[in-house]
Amino acid sequence: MDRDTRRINFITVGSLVVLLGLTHVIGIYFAIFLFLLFYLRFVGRHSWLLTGILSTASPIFLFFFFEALLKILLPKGYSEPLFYPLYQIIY
Amino acid sequence: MEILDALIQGFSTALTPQNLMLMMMGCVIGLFVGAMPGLGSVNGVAILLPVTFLVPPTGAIIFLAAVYYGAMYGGAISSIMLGIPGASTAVATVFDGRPLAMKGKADLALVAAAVGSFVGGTISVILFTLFAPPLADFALKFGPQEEFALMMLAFATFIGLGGDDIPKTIFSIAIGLVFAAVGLDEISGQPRLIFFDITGFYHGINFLVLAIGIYGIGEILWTLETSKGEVKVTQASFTAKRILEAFKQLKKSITIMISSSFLGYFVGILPAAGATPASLMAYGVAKTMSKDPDSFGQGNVTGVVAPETANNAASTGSMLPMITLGIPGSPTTAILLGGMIIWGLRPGPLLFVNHPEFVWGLIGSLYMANLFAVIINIAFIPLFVSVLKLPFTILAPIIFVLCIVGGYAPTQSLHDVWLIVIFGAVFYLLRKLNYPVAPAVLAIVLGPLTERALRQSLIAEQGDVTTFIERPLSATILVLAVLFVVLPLFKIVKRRKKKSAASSETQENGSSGNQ
Repeated sequence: MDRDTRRINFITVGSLVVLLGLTHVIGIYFAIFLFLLFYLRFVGRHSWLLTGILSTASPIFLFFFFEALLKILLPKGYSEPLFYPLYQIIY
Repeated sequence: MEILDALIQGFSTALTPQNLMLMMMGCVIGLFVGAMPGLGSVNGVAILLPVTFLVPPTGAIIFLAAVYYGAMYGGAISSIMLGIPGASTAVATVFDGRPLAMKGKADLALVAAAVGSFVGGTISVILFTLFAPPLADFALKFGPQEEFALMMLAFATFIGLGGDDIPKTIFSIAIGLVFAAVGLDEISGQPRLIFFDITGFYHGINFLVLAIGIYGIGEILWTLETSKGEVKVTQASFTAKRILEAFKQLKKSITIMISSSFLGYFVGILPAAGATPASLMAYGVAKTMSKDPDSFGQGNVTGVVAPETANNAASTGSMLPMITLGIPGSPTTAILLGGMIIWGLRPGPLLFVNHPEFVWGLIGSLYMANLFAVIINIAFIPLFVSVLKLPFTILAPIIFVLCIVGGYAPTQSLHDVWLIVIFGAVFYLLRKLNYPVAPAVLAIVLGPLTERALRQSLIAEQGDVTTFIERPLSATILVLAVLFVVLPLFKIVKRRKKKSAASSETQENGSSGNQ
């Protein structure tokens, strides 16, 4: 495995580990937001506009699909209280 | 013929506007649910069950059956486009579907999957219509011994798949079995292989965790390596001309389609074996029977057709024991059974007599759901293909996110998601060392079933091992299994002899040519 591959694979796996770690703490939506921000911008070198749109759209989409529609609760860590008003709306 | 009468009545029930609409909604929802990694037909049916209390039972089961069907079609989409099995039933589709997509032939793979699914579904519904009661009798004869023999057959087809690398395949299977053993022992309740006493291991390693880890994370890492993280656009175009070409190519696979449908249907009928073992076995059989076994795994269309046909056939087949005997043929039908009881219908032979409009309405709707699903599938292929055109650095993190969330959804535990990442990394490394990964997945799916069947038979016979050979059915299947292992070995030995003969010939010719 050459250097380039090792580097990018380490970064990928490392960022996934950080993503999961963050999920424990600040909850999955914010963790995904940060992960996408990091990956799209710094690894993928896409524009801020694209990064911003995808990073904010994904957690919102995931929230509505999994929690509102399928009623599967995703881990929210310490940020749980922020979601109480949303729960009021969907339940 | 009274069957034809009943069938026509069934069609008229299925064609009422309300039921038609339910069926269409069910197909679309099922398609979408099946396509998402981590969500399969089981999830879809389970979640939508409460919704069905609003409609009469006939409509309800038409809806849920359509969801079941749609998920079978949808599973192939994720397998081919993302390389992640959309559901456990679609694992075998990844083996050849993903390489086809990488070669730019994603539309061929998708059309193949759709048509195969359609043929499988239709043939199995016809078999269902004609042969419901006798087949139910046959299924009753299957005891744990036969189940064990059948699982051995599935493993045997996979060893045959190992090609020249049989020791690595066996190692892969062994690793899969070890992972399958983690958790609570099914018969005695003792905890087994709980690594480091982490409580998350007590519910075992969910198959989906392994599949998403290997095929989701591992696959992305692999692609990252081959594309060096650069923008990579898989060449994928889609025109009507290419659809027609795809159809022409599919004509070659017609025998496989028919045989896989029968195989899938029969495996589906057996209680506890559903679409997943059926699709894996169909893949193994197709590869063993093919004239070109080495091309499997590199993008052979038959390798996509066989499992997709089988899993649709098996889903119809697994509804048979549910309706005629009240025994669920697969996890999804277990939920359907629960629904039926809640609606007040008692499954069994009397169902045909007391509620014919329910049964035949269901059967009629299955024909239509098949047709509808294949049309939608083919119509949406351009949309799916355009997803592949996205640059990989956008696709990759989105797939990661889908994997993580999809991995959390089934068991609601973050521990499983950690396992996904770990397995992804580990199996990626194994893949670099040329270990076949598919047998491990097979082992983790079938391992628990095999062990349960083995122990049930041994307990029933008080440890007498000859029972497998005494019972005629299991003996036959075991002989078949041995054949499937031995035949490819013969082929390999023959090929090696030919190669050494040819090389010595060319040496002679070369030396005589030099003179």
